[in-house]
Amino acid sequence: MPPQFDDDVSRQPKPGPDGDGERLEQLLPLVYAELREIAERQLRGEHAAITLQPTALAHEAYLRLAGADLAWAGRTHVLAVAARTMRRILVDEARRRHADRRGGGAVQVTMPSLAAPQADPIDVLAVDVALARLAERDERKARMVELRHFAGLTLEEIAEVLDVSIATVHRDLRFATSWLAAELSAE
Amino acid sequence: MSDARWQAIEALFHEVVALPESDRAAWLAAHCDDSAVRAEVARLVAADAQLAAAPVIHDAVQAAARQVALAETDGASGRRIGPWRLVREIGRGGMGVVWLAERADGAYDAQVAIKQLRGALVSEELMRRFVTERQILAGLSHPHIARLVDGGAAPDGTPYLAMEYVPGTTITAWAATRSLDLAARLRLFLSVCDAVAYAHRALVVHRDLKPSNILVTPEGVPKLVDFGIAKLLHATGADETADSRPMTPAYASPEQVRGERITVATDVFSLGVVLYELLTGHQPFRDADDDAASSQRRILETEPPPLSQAGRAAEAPPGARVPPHLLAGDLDTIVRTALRKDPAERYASVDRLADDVRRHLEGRPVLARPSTAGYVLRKFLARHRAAALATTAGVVLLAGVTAYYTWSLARARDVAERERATAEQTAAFLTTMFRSADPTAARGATLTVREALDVARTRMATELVEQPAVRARLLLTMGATYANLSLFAVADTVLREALALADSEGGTGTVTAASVLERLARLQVERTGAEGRFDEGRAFADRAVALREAAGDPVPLAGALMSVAAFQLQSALDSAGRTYERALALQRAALGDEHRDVLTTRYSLAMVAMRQGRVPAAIEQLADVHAAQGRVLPPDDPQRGQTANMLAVAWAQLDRHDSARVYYTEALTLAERVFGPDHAETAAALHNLATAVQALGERDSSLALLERALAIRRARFGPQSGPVANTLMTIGNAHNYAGAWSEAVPWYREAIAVYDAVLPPLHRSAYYPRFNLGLALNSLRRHAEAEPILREALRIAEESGGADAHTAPMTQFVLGESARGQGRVRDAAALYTTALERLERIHGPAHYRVGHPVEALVALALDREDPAEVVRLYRTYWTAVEARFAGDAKGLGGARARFVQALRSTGDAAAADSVAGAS
Repeated sequence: MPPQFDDDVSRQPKPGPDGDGERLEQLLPLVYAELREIAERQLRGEHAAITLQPTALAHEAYLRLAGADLAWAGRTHVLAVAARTMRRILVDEARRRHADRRGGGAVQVTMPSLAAPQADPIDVLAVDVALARLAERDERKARMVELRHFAGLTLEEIAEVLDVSIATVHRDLRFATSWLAAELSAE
Repeated sequence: MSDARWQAIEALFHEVVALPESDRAAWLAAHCDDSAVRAEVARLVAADAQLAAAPVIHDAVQAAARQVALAETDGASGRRIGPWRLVREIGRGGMGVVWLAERADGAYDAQVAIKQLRGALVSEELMRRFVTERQILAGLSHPHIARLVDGGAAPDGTPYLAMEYVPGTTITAWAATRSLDLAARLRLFLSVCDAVAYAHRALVVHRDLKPSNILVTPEGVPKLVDFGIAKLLHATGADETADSRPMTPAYASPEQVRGERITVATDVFSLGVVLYELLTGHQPFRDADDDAASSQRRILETEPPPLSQAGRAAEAPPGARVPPHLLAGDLDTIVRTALRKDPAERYASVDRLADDVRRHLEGRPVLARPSTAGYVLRKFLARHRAAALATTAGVVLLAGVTAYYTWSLARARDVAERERATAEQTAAFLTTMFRSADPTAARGATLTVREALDVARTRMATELVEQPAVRARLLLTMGATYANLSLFAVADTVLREALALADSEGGTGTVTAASVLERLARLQVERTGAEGRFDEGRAFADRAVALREAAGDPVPLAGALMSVAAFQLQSALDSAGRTYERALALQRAALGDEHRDVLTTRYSLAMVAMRQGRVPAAIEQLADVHAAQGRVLPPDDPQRGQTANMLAVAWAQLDRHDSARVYYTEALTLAERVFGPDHAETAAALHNLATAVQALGERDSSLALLERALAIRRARFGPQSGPVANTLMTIGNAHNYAGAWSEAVPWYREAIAVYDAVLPPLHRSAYYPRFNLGLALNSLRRHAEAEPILREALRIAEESGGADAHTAPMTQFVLGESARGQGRVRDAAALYTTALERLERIHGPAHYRVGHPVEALVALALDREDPAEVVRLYRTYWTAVEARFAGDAKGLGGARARFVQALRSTGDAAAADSVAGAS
């Protein structure tokens, strides 16, 4: 059930020109339904079978959040929100499917064999859980994974969003994905 | 786990993965003695190695995405909307869900696609778009566009559209499954072009053309669907960059990616992408494993591989592509032309694209050029009028006239240049939009633009009546375009109509009103003679300033002030200067000291100084602008050439032809680099440099430059053209400066013949070669020959009026020389006297020009032995005589000797001594 609001989101109080992550996070519930709508449309679109198009999602998120006034919200925050949104959409959908299939909320994680990647893929729910564990340990690396894999950002873009060097992004992502993969295979 | 431990693991991990696999275990054992840490690192390194083979995280997310894409939707089937019963969801568009539906009452069998806004998403803007879409669709009736069947409101109040249901497959899938041959694919594509061109003529740009919006029915009929994001061009007036702009990254045009203006060229681009994919099975800007961001980067930055090398043949599904060897050459050129980054470089219309595809099918040569020649040509055409203007600047032998005349032309150029690009684009845009599909039409570009505008105007009379704001903006564009085509009367009518509309709007209308007022004001300056309503124009400009002041935005306000200054330039130079200063202050505060617009305003200030005769001040200002432009503009920016040129003109006005040569040379170097050696701009620069060189007495160098200029201009403008005539005259001047009068004569005669062939009668440009020819013939003592030519020159000077008030009296003075040469002393005296009176009225008694008729009258007085008159003339005008002989000691010495002699003859020995002593 999407939230009802009697006003355009663009008329919500706008944060200052530097962007305001907090405020943006507060806005997220308001626009979540709408972003989800966009994301689903994109996922159903021309190349759904090939890859996500989350940058386009971010782009639209931008427009929805900021209305015509594009200057106020940093691209940075919007990309972060888009990544988080996409993650939630995918996880929600997977959860719903599991519930449908099993008639309840029990989440069972599929065990993949790393040696045989053609076998059942790792479930996104497992990724979500492992990612949450990673975030407890190392928030920045978790965000990097989110931006990379759920928002489809390039290393350069991630470097920009998190304000670190590309080399750092590269190193951190390598470590983080290895850690996640190891966690997932260990379960 | 502690942070320290986590960090230690991470550090070891990076050390280890950098090593060859065989060394890792040993290294780890040697560098870490905590076995738990060692195990953890080993586990992560193992995962890292396996990730290289199988990116599990990536795969998991992608799989989830696919699941969402395939997920069933909430069960609304069976629901009724209007007379329709929903059968199943068949898609989701930018604005809502699309359902397959059938008649609930069984009235007939039709199945339709129903598009409905989703309740939670209904915003005013979406509602507007929905209604617009309905209007668009209702207006479109084409065999290859899905029809609108019905429309109305669902029970919950949300509007819906029922459209012809196309049970087809995408155009690419259709071609692939049938392994269509090249010709069949091209014919299919032509049908699509036909539909898009039809939509364009109805003022609809699709904006999201892609295979999934181009379906082919089982009968093989292509149908365009989903005008969900198509938008009436009407509505794209002011803020087309700010609207939400749904698009599909892999098929989007560069301007869509950048959020710039959308035109028919956008569809041309997307059609290019579709054709590319239809022929090769590959999308030009996308790799299989790409994300949207890299697609967009490619769209902006890279050229797609040639059709014949698209992707790797192995990757394309069987039947998806035609054999690569069929795709080289013309087809590649066609696709490339459609896919140009700059919309202006693409096919001007879908019809043009289709024409070329058809030509290829029929084995005829295509019109698109493989290189950027077309681009160069268009650039040339865009500058053509400016160049023609700038180069009619003539050099006459009397100092002062040259620079002044050149200046006024350069100002026209300055004003015109900025809007020229937009105007050309608008013209091209309107042409494309409104041109009737007439493949046999082979008319000149201007004619077509005009026709397009006329058609648009006719249409405007009946359309958009309920959208005054949009109408006003469109009328503004059209009025400006008419004005740029020099169709001033109709421009005036259209702009006044726009003004009335914008005024009636209030609110946001005032911004449009201000723009209209500014354009209307400028129009009154552009219109010549009695047609231009000067007072009214000034009032328009003042109103624009008031509106901009109320709006409070400094930069547009500065723009409005500039249009006020344009009027002040005509009559009140001081006020113009102050207005420019005010505009400059606003721009500086808003844009910084070295913004392009700031520099342009400073350039205008320099022009004011020049016109006030404060040439050194103008030079100072221009030198600053020149230096700043050197810092902030790209090295190839044409404005730098313009400033250099103007600096040269200023120095030439001070007779500092050496400095003038330096800057003219710079302007020439720039022109050659920016425009190429054979460009009209380059010819203008060659021509200008030649004028400085000849003034420095270097006839041969000057002639060499002029010969190049002449050859370029003959090739560019044709042998019978204004620019050619101007250069012919300047060649005459080179000889004239060198005293080779008889060599100058034939060049002047040729220049006159060409001008008379191309100019309307009594055009001021035809004055200069006549005047100069008269001078040369007088010098050759062929006074009788000179006289009728000078009489023609005088007539032109008297009747064409203009800023150079001194041309007529100066011509009378030279005519006096002709009369005197033929022994008609009385006529000569009358002419000299009139010239003197008029020049004195214009310049005051001390100006050097006044010195010319004074000297002539002195000569007559000496002939009739009237020393008293000589004394009177010299006493009254001595300062002017000194100015006349400035830099000519011998000439001045002669005058002084005559003065002294006359004083002695009249018995004023004391005065004679004093004048003689002053030397």
